Amino acid sequence: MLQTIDLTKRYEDGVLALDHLNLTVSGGELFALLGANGAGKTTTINLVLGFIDPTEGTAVIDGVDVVENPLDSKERVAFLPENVTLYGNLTGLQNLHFFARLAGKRCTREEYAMALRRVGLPERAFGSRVRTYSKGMRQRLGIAAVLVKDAPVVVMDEPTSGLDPAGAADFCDLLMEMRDAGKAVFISTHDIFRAREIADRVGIMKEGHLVMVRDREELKSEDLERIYLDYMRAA
Amino acid sequence: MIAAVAYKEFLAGVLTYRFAMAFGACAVLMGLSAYALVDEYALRVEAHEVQVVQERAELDNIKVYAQLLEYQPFTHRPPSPLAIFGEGLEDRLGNVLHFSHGSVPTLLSAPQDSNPLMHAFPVFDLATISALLLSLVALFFAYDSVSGERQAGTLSLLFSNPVPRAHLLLGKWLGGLACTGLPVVAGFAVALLVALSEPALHFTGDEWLRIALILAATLLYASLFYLLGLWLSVRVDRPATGLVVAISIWAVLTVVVPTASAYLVGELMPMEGEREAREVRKQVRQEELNKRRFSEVVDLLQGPLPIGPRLFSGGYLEGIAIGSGLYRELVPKVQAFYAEYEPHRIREAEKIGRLDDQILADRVAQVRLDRTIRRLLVATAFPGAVSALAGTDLASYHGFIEHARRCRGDLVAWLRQGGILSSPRYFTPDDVERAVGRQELRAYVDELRSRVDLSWAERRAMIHDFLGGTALREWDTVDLSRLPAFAPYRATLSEVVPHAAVDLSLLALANVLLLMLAVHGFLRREVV
Repeated sequence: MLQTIDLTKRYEDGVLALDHLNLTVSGGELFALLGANGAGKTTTINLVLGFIDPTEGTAVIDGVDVVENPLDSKERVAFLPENVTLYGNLTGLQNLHFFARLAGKRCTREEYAMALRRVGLPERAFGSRVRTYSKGMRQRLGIAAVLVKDAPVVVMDEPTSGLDPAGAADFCDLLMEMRDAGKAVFISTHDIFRAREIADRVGIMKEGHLVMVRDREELKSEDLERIYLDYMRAA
Repeated sequence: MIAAVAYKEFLAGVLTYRFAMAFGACAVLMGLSAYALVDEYALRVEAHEVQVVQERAELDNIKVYAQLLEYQPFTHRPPSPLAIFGEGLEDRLGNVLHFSHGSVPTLLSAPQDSNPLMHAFPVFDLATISALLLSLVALFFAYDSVSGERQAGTLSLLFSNPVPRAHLLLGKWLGGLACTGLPVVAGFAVALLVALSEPALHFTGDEWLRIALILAATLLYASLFYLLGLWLSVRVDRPATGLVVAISIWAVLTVVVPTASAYLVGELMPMEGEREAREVRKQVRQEELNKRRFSEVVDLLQGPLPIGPRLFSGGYLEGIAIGSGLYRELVPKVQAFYAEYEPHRIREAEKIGRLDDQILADRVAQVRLDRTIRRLLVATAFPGAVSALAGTDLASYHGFIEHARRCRGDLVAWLRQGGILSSPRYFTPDDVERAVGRQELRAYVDELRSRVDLSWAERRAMIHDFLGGTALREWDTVDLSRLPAFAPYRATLSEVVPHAAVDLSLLALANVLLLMLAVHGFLRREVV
């Protein structure tokens, strides 16, 4: 479970990036956070992952306070950044092996290969250097690393950005698989349609505030795009 | 976890063009340098052996013990095969030191035309190549180690895992150091292969240990620059900025500091013209000596005699017919004079040795100040450490001088214990002058002297034949076979390690400090 309690971040230049965010993503739930650039989505992720310290409030990963026990909390969360570059000189398998070791996992070569197959990476790419990969292939490799880590909480920043429609669709299937496996999945995205399609709950963030949260049932009868635009246009 | 990060860092570093270039450059440059220096070493060994043979042949000229003042005994140190790693002062100081009971070896005994302290330009030995090339290679490996990951976005992936940041940085350091160290080890291996292909060069067990220490010092030096680059990459946001700053620092440490240091030393410790000062002091010293000797001689002999100063500065009684009345009158007086005077000469020589040490004290202080200034910026401590370990630094030469002084002590003890100084044999060959015409004998001995291919025993046999086998015992009054054996000097591991200890400690300390700085910066640095 991922939880934020009055999570607040004011940067040194005085900008209030996040203001008392209270949010819970339970196990087996997929939460999509929408918002314009600079709304506070990435700040939320950075706080949840302990990359930056909150000005106020706490973030809790699977019952562990991120600030008080940063290493314990990181054992319980897998992260996929917006632009997955990884190490271009290493092969896909070598990258996967390295990140698995960092996560404290020791898998066999076959298990790594299974993870790569599961994310749809072609076999010939396993031993190729990552610098020869397309963006979609790198993204798939990143997801393979998330799968290998097998953490109860998954956090992804703009995961479908730059993917072609087929790739994005495959990716969403994987997200739902993870959700169905009982993981708490938190993604930030600009893709309203994908969010509506796969998320159990959708939140809209504006100027550091979580201004709206709707669940799947509520969204069935509402136009998410219109709601989003209305919030964005509102003063 | 540190091992996993180190392995990744090593793997990612090895599979780059910069690694291939560094590997090739180290192997080629170190191999070429070794080739040139090994060739030079072989020539040096040959020249040294010829010199030693010639110096030994010179001793054959001695007919009376007093001539030990003229044809002085010597000790030598064979050229160091480790000079290929750090040439230091190897080619700038002589490898032979003369001494006698009338002179103490000092740094002034080094050949005047190759004053070691006046040379400013480095020889391109392995230490110099490492200092210039390796530092650059290490910086090129490290300058984007963290900033590059931040720019590429992989840093956030690293930090999202349960690994302490300090472990990440330690892993990066170890992996990067392995990347930097591999070209160094390859360069050393090529250099050693080249060296061992030269028949004149072989290393003792002691020297292999010193080579291992030189390699360790080199890796410590590489680590220092790697950590410098790593620290910069932690501090700056963009790799390009880190590269510019790194190259600037490299230029300051490897080019500007050594040049500026010499200038600064000259400004801080201005000296009078050393050569002139040295000559003036020598003249004054000699005048004092001459004055004292002749006044004593005149007093002792109670009046002027038809003899020149050569007799009293180490020649033998000549120009006076042996067996003449004058000869018979003179011998006891001269014998008494030498018995009285030679102990004074020995003490006088020791005073002069101390005076020579004082003459050089200013220059030695300058050299030490120069090294201290360079040590303050630590990086330049590396060549000093290597030449110390190779036994080619000034401290090692001082060890050679001390060895020569001990040899002189043995010589003095031998002269005293044998009663040689108070014997007529100290200054006259006596009977031989009656057996053979003096000029005829000298011409024959001169002819033999040019025959350096002859051994002492062969010469002895030839002189025996020349003298008709009758007067040899009387002529051969100088028995140099009983001279103490003056063993050659070889710097040992236990001697050189203390010389290198300060530089090595500074390098290690600087490594620790830079690592702490880098870790501190890494811990405080925000990921995004």
